[in-house]
Amino acid sequence: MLSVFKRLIALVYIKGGRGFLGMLSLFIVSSLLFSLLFFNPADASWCPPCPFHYITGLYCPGCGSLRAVHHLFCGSFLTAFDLNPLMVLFLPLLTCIILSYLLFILTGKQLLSLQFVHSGKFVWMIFWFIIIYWVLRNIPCFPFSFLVA
Amino acid sequence: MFCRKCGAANDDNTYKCVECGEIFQVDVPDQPAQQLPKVASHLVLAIIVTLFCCIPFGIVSIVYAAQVNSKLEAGNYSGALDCSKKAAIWAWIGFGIGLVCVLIWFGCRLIGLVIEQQY
Repeated sequence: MLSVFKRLIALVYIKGGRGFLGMLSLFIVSSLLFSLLFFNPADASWCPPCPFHYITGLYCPGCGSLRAVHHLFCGSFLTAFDLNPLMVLFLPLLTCIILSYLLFILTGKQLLSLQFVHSGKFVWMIFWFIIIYWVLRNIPCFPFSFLVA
Repeated sequence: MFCRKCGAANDDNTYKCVECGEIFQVDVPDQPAQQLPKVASHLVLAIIVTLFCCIPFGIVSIVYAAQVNSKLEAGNYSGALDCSKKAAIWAWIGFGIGLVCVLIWFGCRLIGLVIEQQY
């Protein structure tokens, strides 16, 4: 337990305070996401729109992800999947990667080894997945209209 | 890297722990196959920026993140480091522009509210 604490302290101070910035931004982002429990971005008029959608009128790969997170928190999984399927698919992956980082930092051992995630092929696959999704959700006809946020 | 005995932070290529003097084994005898050196690809950051900041710069960051691993597998360590830096820079550019857009949005709304109250 003490060594875990020491590791945390060391993490904050290594690399000239960059660890501290990382922890701070992680805290801010997670608290902002947590606030989505209490309101729906679709109902709140003060909630900023996606800049890309606002300027071009097209959907970006991330359009609808805040609303999707809100619906995930509320337990309506299908509504979330309808709003942004990509986000719902990527969320478990992101959680796994962040968890493996945290476990490595806290214990110093590679408890959750995600070898395939760190291969070039896998990242290229993610890249093409996002690009194809981006194009498909902007095609305004029947099967693709499900992808619209 | 962290000392496995006392947990103190050490420079990555030190031989001995600065705190307790624990000797770090440099070569592991029962693993003769050389391991690839690790370079951060900033993939998580790139995906988060793509999905939540709505700015397509996250895509550029993913391209560089992919190149980090491809180059590392090809043995090009300095190229991988270069791409790692670029991946981080593009992700933060996307994040920054997204943040600026949000701030401009709130600024405009505030000005609108003030004008509405005056008339």
